[in-house]
Amino acid sequence: MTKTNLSNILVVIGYVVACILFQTILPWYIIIICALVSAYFITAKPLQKISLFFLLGFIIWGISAYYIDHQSSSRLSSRIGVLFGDQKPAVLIGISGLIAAISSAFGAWCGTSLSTFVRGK
Amino acid sequence: MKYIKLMLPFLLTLAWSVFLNNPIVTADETLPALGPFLSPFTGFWHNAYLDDVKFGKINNQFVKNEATVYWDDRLVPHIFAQGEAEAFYVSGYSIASQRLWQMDMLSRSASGRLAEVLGGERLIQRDITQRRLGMMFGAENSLKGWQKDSLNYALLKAYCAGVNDYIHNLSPRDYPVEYKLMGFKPESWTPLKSASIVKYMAQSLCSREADLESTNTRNLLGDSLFNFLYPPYFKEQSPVIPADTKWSFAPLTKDTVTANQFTELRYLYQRENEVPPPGQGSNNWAVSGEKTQSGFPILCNDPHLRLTLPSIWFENHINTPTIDAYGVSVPGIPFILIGFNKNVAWGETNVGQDVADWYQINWTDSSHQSYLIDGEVRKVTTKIEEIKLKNKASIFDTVRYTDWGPVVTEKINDAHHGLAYHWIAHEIPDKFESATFLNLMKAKNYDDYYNALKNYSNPAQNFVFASNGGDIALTVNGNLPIKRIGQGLFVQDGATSANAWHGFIPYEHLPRVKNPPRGFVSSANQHSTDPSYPYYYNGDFENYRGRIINNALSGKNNLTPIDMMQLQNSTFSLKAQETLPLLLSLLDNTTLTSEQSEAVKVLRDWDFSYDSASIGALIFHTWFRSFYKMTLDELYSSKDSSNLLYPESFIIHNLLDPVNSKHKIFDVMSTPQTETAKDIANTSFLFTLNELKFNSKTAQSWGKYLNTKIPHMANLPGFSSEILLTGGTSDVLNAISNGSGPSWRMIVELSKDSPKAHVIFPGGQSGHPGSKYYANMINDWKTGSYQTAKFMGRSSIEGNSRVQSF
Repeated sequence: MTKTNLSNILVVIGYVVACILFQTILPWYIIIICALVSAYFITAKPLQKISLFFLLGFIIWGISAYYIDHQSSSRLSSRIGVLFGDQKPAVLIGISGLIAAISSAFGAWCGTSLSTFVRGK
Repeated sequence: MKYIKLMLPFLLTLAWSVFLNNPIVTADETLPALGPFLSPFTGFWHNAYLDDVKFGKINNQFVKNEATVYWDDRLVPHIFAQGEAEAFYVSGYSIASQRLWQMDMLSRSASGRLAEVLGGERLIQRDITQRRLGMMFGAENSLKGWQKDSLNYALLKAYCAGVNDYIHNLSPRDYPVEYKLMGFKPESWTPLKSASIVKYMAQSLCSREADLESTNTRNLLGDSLFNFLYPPYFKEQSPVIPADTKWSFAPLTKDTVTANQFTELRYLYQRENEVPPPGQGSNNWAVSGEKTQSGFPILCNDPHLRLTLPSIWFENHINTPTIDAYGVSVPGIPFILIGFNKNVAWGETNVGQDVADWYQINWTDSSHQSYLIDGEVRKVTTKIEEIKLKNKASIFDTVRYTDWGPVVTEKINDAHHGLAYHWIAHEIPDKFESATFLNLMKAKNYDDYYNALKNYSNPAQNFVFASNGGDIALTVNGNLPIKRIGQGLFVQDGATSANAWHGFIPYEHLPRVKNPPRGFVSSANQHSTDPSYPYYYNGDFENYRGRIINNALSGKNNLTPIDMMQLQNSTFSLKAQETLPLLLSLLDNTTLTSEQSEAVKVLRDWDFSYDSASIGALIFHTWFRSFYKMTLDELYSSKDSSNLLYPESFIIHNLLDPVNSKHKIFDVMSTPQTETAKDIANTSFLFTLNELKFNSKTAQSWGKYLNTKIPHMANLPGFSSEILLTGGTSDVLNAISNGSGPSWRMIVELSKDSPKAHVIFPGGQSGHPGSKYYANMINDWKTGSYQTAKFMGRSSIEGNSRVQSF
């Protein structure tokens, strides 16, 4: 494993841990800031970075939502789904994941741009 | 270009964040901000993840000696504490943990603060009307009275401290999901908010009057027809206090002069406030040990209130060295309102007496700054009400207060226009009225019950009582105004002080019954007494349910809780039994088609029960309604029909008496011929079958028509129940109708040691829609099943893990 790859993996792990920790005490958009900071330090092509954080955002919120939904037997999500046009819990899980994915990707885009601007890469 | 490349993602990210961080407002509704709401860490998902109760140690500064709460498998808190204040602190904490948003909304509803958090034009007008009705004026006055009783007031403050400690321990991500949906946060709880919930209950229970509509209707119909259609008392009635009761006192004042009321309309009175819908009532009864299998009394109570999720009731058990009581409270009010302890049980139904009157203000001029009483000029006091609105600037309303009460409707610049509202719930109580319930929680016998009820002021209730000492009793209790004959039926002239109430009926003179020879006491919102009672009263009274109970209990012995369950869930309609044969006798069977004859057969075979599957119930119900409407076309065809009073349905029974068959009320105004009862019966029957599209093979059942549903308090569709197939209607004991119904069914069989209580309500203990305890009792309630209340001692919870300690 190259040093760059190891560094990238550590940043990704840091991103996931920071997201999970900070989101319990800070507003939801901390996911964007975490992605921005992490993307700044990751070494990869811009599109790869944005795709990676899109995926990570989706996984963090989507899996969390799925886990909670499973644990609570969909009691609340099925009621909330009715408010959102009779959507099934799975759709809410998907929307939650997508929102985090897009937000995270936006953050990564900012981090990438900043990195390019500051470091020229 | 370099800078643009840098800034573009930041700007788009900012725009995306702002979009997700703000509510989405459409023409129809406001959706919550999607970012925070859909976050699994702080949004609604987090609510789904929360436990119903955080067991273990709860840090606080209030409880000096240890207090413990055991949450049983129905999520009922059993509170064990060394002192009363500590118990009520824990009670406040416990109820806030389950019903915080509901308490908040009940208080906001009472005080006219809904538009502030929910928005919407309709709510703005409602908020204005609530302010004008003096809801908070009444709450503030209540507080003035309560503070005179510092000992018991301290318990209310302890309760508030418990609620507040719960709120302050909450992080925003733990707020109930409705707060997240609607985008506001809980406020600190105060005694005034508890007082506002007492006013909320008063508004539900003792604000029903029809002064405006009566005045308009008398003007339309004339005195003679009005008096015929709106008799003060039906002789068939079976009052709360048995009709043969002898009154051993002389009334304080018995003014034989009829109240001074307008004989002509100054203008058409139009109501701006809501009055509780018909069908809200209750049943209670207690049978003596001589009539029960166990030899001990059985007490039953089922208050009929608006059915909502979360339910209006919260079960709890409080145990201290001085209290050991179990029952239900209304969130925001600390005490057990309906319940039992080891020795006694108690419950309430509403007293239908009219304790809200309207006075026409005699302004000195069109500026409405002063008015005349007995020729003397009096100045109004004004209060500027700020009505805060969601996402909009506040609006302001000036409410004028007169000696009669707040002016609710007025047209500025019109010196003749203005109605003041005089309501019992505006009065400053002599004592802390809720202490009635605290003393009932501690009661051991009839004397304790008698003394406990002395504190009570409003809303007046029929307090039923039973003790394991063998006593049963019922008291029509509360501050009931001494009125002149006819006072309160119509809008009164506010220009003369003689039209004021003459004080209140002394406690000793209130109608009450103890251990009657018939072996039971009962009430179901019917007349309190027969006309021999020395004080005049008027109001809105039920004519059937009381008689059903009294008929069912008379002559019965060896009664068991199962008999009581069947009675509480009875859908038998006395109205149908009395009216249907009369209607059928008027039908001309010779002209009916085979399908119409089938409908008649269904009716003849019907057992008068409003069961879910009944087809006869729906045909009768629709036929009765059509007959009623066609008979009273004088009212329904009036251009002012929405501002009129409609007679009680019992009048139809009287009109179907053969002596009235050609009464002029049957004549349809829009036809040249003169109709009789027979004509109306036949026409309305055909109309009914047409309306129902009756087909004997595919006929609709009553349950499908009734379409019972228990809505969420804010009418959020996903948070409401599904459609429930139930039986019932307003004049049967299982009085499910118009969104109201038995909100709590309780049957307590007393015994020497520990009572056995069977209970149920249409909801669940938790107010959190994600909890399995949110609506878990609905199915049992629907099917008429009961759950057993666990009236346990402290020793039985030792070592249990479902415990919180304070």
